[in-house]
Amino acid sequence: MKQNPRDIPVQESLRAGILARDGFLGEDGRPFPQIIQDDTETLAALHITPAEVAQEMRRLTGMGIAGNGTAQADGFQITVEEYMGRIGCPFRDHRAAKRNTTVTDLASGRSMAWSDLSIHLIAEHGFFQGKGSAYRLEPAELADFLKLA
Amino acid sequence: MAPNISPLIIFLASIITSNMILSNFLGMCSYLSVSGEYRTATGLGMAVTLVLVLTTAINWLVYQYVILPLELVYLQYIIFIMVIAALVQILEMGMDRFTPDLHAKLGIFLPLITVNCAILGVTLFMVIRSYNFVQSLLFGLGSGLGWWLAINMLAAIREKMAKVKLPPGIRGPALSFIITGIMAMAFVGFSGIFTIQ
Amino acid sequence: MDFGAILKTVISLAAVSGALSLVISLAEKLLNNYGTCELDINAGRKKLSVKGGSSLLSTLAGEKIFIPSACGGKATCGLCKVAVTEGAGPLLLTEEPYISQEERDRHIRLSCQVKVKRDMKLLIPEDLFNIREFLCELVEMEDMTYDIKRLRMKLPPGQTIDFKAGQFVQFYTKPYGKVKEEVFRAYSISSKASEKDHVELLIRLVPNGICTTYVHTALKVGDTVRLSGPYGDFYLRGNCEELIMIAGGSGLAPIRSLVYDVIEKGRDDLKMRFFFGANTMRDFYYMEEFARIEKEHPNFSFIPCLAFPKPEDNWKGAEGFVTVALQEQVQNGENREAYLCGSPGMLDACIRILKEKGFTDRTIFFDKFT
Repeated sequence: MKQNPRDIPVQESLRAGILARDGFLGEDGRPFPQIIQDDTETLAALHITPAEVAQEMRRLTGMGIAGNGTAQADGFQITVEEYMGRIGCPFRDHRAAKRNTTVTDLASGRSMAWSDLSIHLIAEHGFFQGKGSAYRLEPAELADFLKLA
Repeated sequence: MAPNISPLIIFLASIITSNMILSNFLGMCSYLSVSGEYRTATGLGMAVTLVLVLTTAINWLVYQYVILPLELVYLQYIIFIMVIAALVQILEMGMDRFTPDLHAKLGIFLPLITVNCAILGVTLFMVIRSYNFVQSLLFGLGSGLGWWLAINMLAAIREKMAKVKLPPGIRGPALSFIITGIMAMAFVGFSGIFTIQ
Repeated sequence: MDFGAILKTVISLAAVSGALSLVISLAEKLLNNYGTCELDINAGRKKLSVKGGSSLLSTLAGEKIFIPSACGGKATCGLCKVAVTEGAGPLLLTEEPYISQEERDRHIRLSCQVKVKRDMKLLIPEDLFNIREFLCELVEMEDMTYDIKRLRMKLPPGQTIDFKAGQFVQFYTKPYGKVKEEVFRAYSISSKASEKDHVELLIRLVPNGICTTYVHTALKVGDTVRLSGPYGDFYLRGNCEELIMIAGGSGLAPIRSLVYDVIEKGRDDLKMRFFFGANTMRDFYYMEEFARIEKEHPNFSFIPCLAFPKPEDNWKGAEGFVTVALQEQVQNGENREAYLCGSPGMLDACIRILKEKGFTDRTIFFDKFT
């Protein structure tokens, strides 16, 4: 199928060394609309939308910020780390604070991490990043981790 | 000889009963890939209509005054394609220069249109049906508007469907094909009004 | 085989494609050549004749006018705003997310997206004419903490940088590893404004950061570094009795420059209180230097705040986040100005407290690029 011309600059910005050192695609060879579609379907099978996942992520990050960097809530240990400056969204509609959230499930010891940009990408674009990217979040795993599934 | 059909009938028929997408299934690739958003689809629809009118007019002249006199009918496909490609390129440069606001809206779609099969399809239909100049022009305009109508309808439905929970595997092209199929069936209902070949 | 038919095919096709190529080349010559365009800056203050066809940002850079930008023309930072009152054409889709309605009314555009196609009239802040480009030599590089490096760069012989304490420069990387293009990022100057032949920066490693990874892994002493500047409106106003300075991490950089500026200007009437926040002991740096300044200058007091002191740290200073110290120690906003530099979350929290205490947008200063 042909590429939507609107997607070309986005695909370009997702590459390594344009906005982020390692880019957003990892080893994933799929064009990004395909990644978005596949992940949306994975979530749809669990009857969850990306927006719902992002809302929960934003809530946890928000608690971390309110706790000046750390918080414990809902059985999670939340750590938020901030850096100066902002990073542009590859879809060109947002500039996210450089903020990383690490969440550990106190019961299982499992932990997951995301940035503010990850939340925006999931909420607004349904984009969980390419497989192999350090910031890739497996939608099913994330939904399970956040106890949404 | 040109067939004895009113250009107005050709115009209306090419929008409704002989719609480029819904009855001929031409220009499908950009139709499927650029219909995710209503606004983008409108831009592409507009660009396709503009290019269709211009290429039909120019290809008609090329056919009548170059291909027929020089007996190059066996080369018509390649010549039509070259003319389309050249025209789109010049159009883009002209738009960038003289109508920057239009270029801002349509510019990114023009390269995509060069290889849109609906464009070549309309030219070939025009030749096969031996339309005269006015008939060709309205056929081009009607086909463009019809294509625009179809992609806008699909985009509007897809925007609505994006918020709906669907069974796995159906989202994306599969859903677009199903929607298009249903729309095509609905359009068959118009076929009693008037038909062209 | 009919040789004539083959010849006819070849000749006709060649003729058709030749004719079309001719038409396209003519069109290119007529349409794609924008010739020389006149740029009128600040109502006749400066007039430039430039070759049309490129983006306004790069055209101006070619004329040594540097518009601040953080993304390098990719329409992702929204910083390179310039008022174009004539000749810019309609707002582009790529600009829309960054231009508010109020800015639209003022004809604000992203200079990296606007192409120079005809004569244009621009409004540019006068300060920007002061911006220069420097090819510096990296003379010192030192680890200040486990993730912050201090870079000291020497300007080329004969060149000086005229900046106000608190302003920032743009730092250009060279391609390295997976990064195939030059990128640039903004960093505040930490050295004294009186020292015009050197520039010091404090750069903290950001995970997955393009520029900070370059600095922390690829850059070596002796390398040539390209800088441009100075930029920014974060500098001393001093229309008050006391300055409240707040920084975290590498946000210390512009504050250090500001403190020295106040001292060197001999403003002994101006009291300064510097709240420096860190999570753990290993995030502190420049502690001895600020302690020494505090000893030598009675108008300066240094308040390091440690969020998570451990027993073995033997910490005697303020405990908790800077916000706690701020809440307890700053009475009100009367005759005070606040200068902040740090991560967005810290800024938000501090600004909230300052506003509760009566500080206003006109007495709180921070860099927009943070």
